[in-house]
Amino acid sequence: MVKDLLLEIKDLWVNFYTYRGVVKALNGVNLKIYKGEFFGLVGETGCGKSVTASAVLNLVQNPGKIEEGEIIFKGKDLLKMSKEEIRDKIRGKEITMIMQYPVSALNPVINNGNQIAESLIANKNMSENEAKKRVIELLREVNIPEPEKIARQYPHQLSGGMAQRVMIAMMLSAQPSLLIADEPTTALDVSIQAQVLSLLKDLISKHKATVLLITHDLSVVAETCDRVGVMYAGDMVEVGEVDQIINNPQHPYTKGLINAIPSDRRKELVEIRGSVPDLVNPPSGCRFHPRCDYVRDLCKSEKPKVLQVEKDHMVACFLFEGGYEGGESGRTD
Amino acid sequence: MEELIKLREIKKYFPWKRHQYVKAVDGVSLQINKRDIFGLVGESGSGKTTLGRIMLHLIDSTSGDIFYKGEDITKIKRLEKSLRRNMQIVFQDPYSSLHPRKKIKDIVGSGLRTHHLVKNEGELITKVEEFLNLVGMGEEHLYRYPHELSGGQRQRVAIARAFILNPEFVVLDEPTSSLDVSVQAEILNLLKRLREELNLTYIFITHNLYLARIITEKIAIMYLGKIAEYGETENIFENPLHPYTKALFSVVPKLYPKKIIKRIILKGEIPSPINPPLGCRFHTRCSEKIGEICEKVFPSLKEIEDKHFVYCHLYD
Repeated sequence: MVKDLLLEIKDLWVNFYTYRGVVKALNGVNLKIYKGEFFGLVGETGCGKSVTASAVLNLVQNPGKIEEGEIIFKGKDLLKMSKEEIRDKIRGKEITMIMQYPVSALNPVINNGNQIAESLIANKNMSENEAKKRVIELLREVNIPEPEKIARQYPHQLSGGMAQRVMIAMMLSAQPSLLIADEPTTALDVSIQAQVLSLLKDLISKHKATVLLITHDLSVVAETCDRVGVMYAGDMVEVGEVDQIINNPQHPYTKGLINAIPSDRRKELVEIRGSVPDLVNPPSGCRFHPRCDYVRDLCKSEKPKVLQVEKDHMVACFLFEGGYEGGESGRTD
Repeated sequence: MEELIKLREIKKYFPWKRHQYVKAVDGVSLQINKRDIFGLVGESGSGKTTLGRIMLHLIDSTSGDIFYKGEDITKIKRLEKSLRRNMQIVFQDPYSSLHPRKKIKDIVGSGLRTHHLVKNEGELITKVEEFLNLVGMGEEHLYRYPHELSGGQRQRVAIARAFILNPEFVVLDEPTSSLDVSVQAEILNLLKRLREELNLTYIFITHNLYLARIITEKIAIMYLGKIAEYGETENIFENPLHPYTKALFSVVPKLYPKKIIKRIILKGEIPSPINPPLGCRFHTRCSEKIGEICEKVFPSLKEIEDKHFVYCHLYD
């Protein structure tokens, strides 16, 4: 099966010009997302996963600036489009986003139904009555009980799980090609998280959409995604299929991360020594080198190239230069 | 094993509107022994934090008794200082639990002053330095302010502040949930080490089952102000009995998901604690409900295997 490329990010650099200095938030990120897949972007606070998503929607705002790179969506470079073009043709239509805190992402003074109807009327040229009918259908589709009642209510009357469903309904109304979900379940309880994630999965396969899921929780990725990219301090350190990353992580940071997660198979946690660097003064060379157990002189001076270690499994690490060796570096414990 | 805290039928109702109450904790009985690491696990609104604070006498319970070393402390209006010294807490969010305008030495040392444990500033500094070292921080932090520290460092300061008074037990209220996973691992390993070195009892409050498995020895699973099940952590993981515990295990995202097992996805949302369901609190979402008895009668406590207790009609 040949996979169709939907979105390609090429060598993306983003800086934030703050009073403390220049925060080098993205350090040449490369990423490919194919049609119909559920792609997870994982990393800890400040690794640049949300900045990557905002760059795609052209939402990097002052003091942030996209310095360099290309974001190719359906063959067109989004960074070469004007702000108006992105607003009129891409954002909210081709690419939509759901946020971490649904209650604050919704407009508090418009009732839920009208909020969803608004985009239908504006983007799909529906009449008010058609839109109202469609809203109820959409709410039913996201498993909201008593959709008529919820449509009349306001966002503050909803629980977190319900509000997230309203957000999802709103995003679906646009029938986007790409849905960016930025920590969609972080603010929810586990039982509600499971409901929302399985809903998202069902809808995606039904509507044949593509999802870019941003999360700090590798377990969520393991349960829902097809492929995953691991980010660290503005670098994409490892990309591969979920199975490959979880069962056969190669980059020292990915290994460290997996060993630090309390999971179904782990009773002792192994910490990653040191702490996340300040991106005003990021370490030279590989940004992970001060915390890495396998550090060599080369790591301190040069940025590692992205190397392929197995089919569809890329790692940015000098350990794999000269081909994949396997052996010791393949262990996770 | 020596008993340290015993709770008997603890209830905490917060006033809501006229004649309406939020039943945050609704009849909890528990015993915590010396040197236990006891986990309280539940989703939001289960009452785990309220229960932790009641144990510390930070809030008064509406009814019920708390025995601390055999003495009923609910009868005392204000805890004696000596008793207070023995109980400490580490809060969830280290960004709001440290005074932003105080130096680290004052934050960590304020308990020493309150309890007159040091005679002068010099002694205070020595003692604070000792405890900062214990939590893995150097003396260069003594004169800094909280905003100069990272989240992990702040939580270390909060831990040093709690432990400097040499308490008997410490309530850890989601101490790592606002931290990144790599930092979380550090803090948990630190807490484990300190337990061994200082001979402490922990109440560990968390919503994360796998986290509870890493640190606790016993856990109680809470749902809507009541305990569903409690026992040794390993027993509960090997053999969960209550349908809520089973459902919880099945919905927690796993790093190594088993594709074959059908997940029990809980129906609906957690009911409101203002009008919790009658009978078993969980019957509205339970997939193993047996019938009317679940809706009407709250199940009694049953010991199924050694020290593994459950409140469920399935085991009548």
